[in-house]
Amino acid sequence: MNGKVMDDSALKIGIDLGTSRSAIAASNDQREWVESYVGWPKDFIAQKVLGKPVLLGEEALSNRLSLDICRPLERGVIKEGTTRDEEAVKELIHHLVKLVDQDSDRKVHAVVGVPAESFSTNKLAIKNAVSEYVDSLMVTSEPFAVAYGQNLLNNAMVIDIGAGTIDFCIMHGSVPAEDDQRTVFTAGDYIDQQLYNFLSERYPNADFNMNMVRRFKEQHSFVGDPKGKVEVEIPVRGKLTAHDITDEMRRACESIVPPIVETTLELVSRFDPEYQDKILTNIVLSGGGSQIRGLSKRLQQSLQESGPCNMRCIEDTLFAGADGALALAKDMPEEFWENV
Amino acid sequence: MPAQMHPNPPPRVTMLEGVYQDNLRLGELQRRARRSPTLRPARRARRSQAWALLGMALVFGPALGYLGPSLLLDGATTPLSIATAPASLYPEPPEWKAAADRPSPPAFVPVQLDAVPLLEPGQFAGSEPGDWSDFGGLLRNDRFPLTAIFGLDVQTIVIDAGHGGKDPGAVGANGTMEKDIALDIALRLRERLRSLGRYKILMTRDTDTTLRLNERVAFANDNRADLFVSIHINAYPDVRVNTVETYYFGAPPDTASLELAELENSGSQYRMADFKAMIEKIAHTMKHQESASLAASIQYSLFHNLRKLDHDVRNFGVKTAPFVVLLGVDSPSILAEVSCITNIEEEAKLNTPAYREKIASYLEKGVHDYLRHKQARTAGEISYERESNG
Repeated sequence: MNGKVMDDSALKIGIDLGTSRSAIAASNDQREWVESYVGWPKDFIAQKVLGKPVLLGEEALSNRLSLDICRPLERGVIKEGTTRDEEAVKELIHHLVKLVDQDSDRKVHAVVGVPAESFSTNKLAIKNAVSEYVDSLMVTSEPFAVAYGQNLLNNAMVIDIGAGTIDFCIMHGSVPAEDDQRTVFTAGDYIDQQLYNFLSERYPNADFNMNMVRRFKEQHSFVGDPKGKVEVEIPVRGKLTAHDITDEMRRACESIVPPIVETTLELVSRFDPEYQDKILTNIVLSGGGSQIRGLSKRLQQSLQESGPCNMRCIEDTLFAGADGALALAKDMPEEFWENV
Repeated sequence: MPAQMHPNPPPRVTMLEGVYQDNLRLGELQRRARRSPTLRPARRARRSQAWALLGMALVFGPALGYLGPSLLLDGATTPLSIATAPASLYPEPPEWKAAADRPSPPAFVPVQLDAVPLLEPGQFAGSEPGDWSDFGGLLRNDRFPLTAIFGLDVQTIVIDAGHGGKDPGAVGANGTMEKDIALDIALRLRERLRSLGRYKILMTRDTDTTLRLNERVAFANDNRADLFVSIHINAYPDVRVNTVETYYFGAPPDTASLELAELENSGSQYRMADFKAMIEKIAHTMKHQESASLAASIQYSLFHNLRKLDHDVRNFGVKTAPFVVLLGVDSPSILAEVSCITNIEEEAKLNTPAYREKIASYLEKGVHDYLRHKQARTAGEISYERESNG
């Protein structure tokens, strides 16, 4: 985007680069999201059939048999050293920016959310991938972006449950320092793997893959008491057969509860004791994982063993990160953009 | 030091200023990174090697005076020579030969959270040695653990009985509490390990007292624990399930930070702050390697012995997970879920001293096997095959 005219009407965008889904929100009121999949045709025939050199999101997923497909942000980081993943992130960013910015002459300023404890190297890799498509760029921690967007600036904690990571961030009236943030990896993908293992063990003859397991989770995830029997259809020797996966689903989803509780208490216990109760009574869950039925209630119950606790879920989880990043982008003084 | 609170939050502009400053710093790193691609790979590797050797010479040399000079200067015992002549120390078992065909891991390796295969005592779940002329190769290599290379010994073992006091842990259908069973097994394990006569055995709690996780961590670190074994009893909604699993902390192999240090030192000047980070990376890798090995040994002993008593017991394997207590302890540390209290039959068995004694003995065997193999690895006097057959 070199050579664009520098003016005050720059398009501001906020991007939440996720392991599973990536979202973008722009100051022109456009918001888009895409499954974080990128695929390239496996061979000449595949490219001829698909008619594109690269496919993204749901389109890539549905044509995965013809593609070399990847999720470039496994566990919230670019797998640096693998050119393909770096390339995939660039494609993803390019696609997202194109979705909201049809005016190619307009200057673009972007804020991108990255996992809370992301290594500087990873921030650099993301910055390198994004900078090709925007004029000025800042990266910040995802949960901080969520907190900023939700106006949770003081005495609050954000727990962002994504696919690759769960990011924790305590807000105390300033930009959170490293000690105020944590990232753990027992997130959505971990649940998928657990569920896959449990189902493989219980139904050794059933024929399913990780995509199906992910879909089961997205449709039926819960902790605590089930609403009813969770039954899914899985092929057995080519014939669709109903399988009861209630217990397996519960066990898989509940496997993330202890790490969340432990990390929350550890982070809070490092805080000024006079304010620990305030933090515990103002915890906000965001990210796709926060939609697991019964999770916030279970977490609240577990944390209440340590004192009063109040937890709530953000409503628009898909765009909370991107909206927060956009809010930062909009509020950022122009002179800051010129210097970064 | 607790973070300072601001009862009246500053205006948003202060936060924006903070984000801006962070990105200015990142921009500086980016500019350095862009300058460095002109560096040829061979030169980068040589610089890494020099960096690694310099680090080890200055830090581990004085600390391990008997080892330092020979390790660094004697061609027969440099890390490089160990890597290029592995057969003399560890004949390759078939699994390693297969592993040699796999591509080397990317420089930025995400943490592995899945259950790993059940390893036998003394077996490492690592990759083939990388390029030992490269510091990253030294860190990535699991086959020649750093404790063996540096001759590190175990003197103090801390046993941690899970939960306690106000925190009962999991509770069985008949009221059996995890905290009581864990404590009893821990006390029995202490007596067994003490009887070996070679190690100082400490317990985070030996009575029914409440202990916070950070207090357990502080106890282990203050007492300079060389190993940390945390004992827990599992609970599952499905009361038919009985399981055994062992965890260790799964932090990512932090080669990315190594590369960052390289970027930050792309000129000719190294800073002491970077130097310290490199050394911390060695300690981190050592902890990871030894925790994995200890977990494998304990899980192997627990499962293979408990299966003789309960054919239906499930092996949930060795896993990595971000448990705070495993993160905080400086030394190799594991958390063993030795049984499942929600299984009614298992709960009944856990209430018998004989069964608890058996579990303690299996834990002891796991620790003992790990120590025995570690000692042999350090001495470089056994082969894997001989141990396996023995």
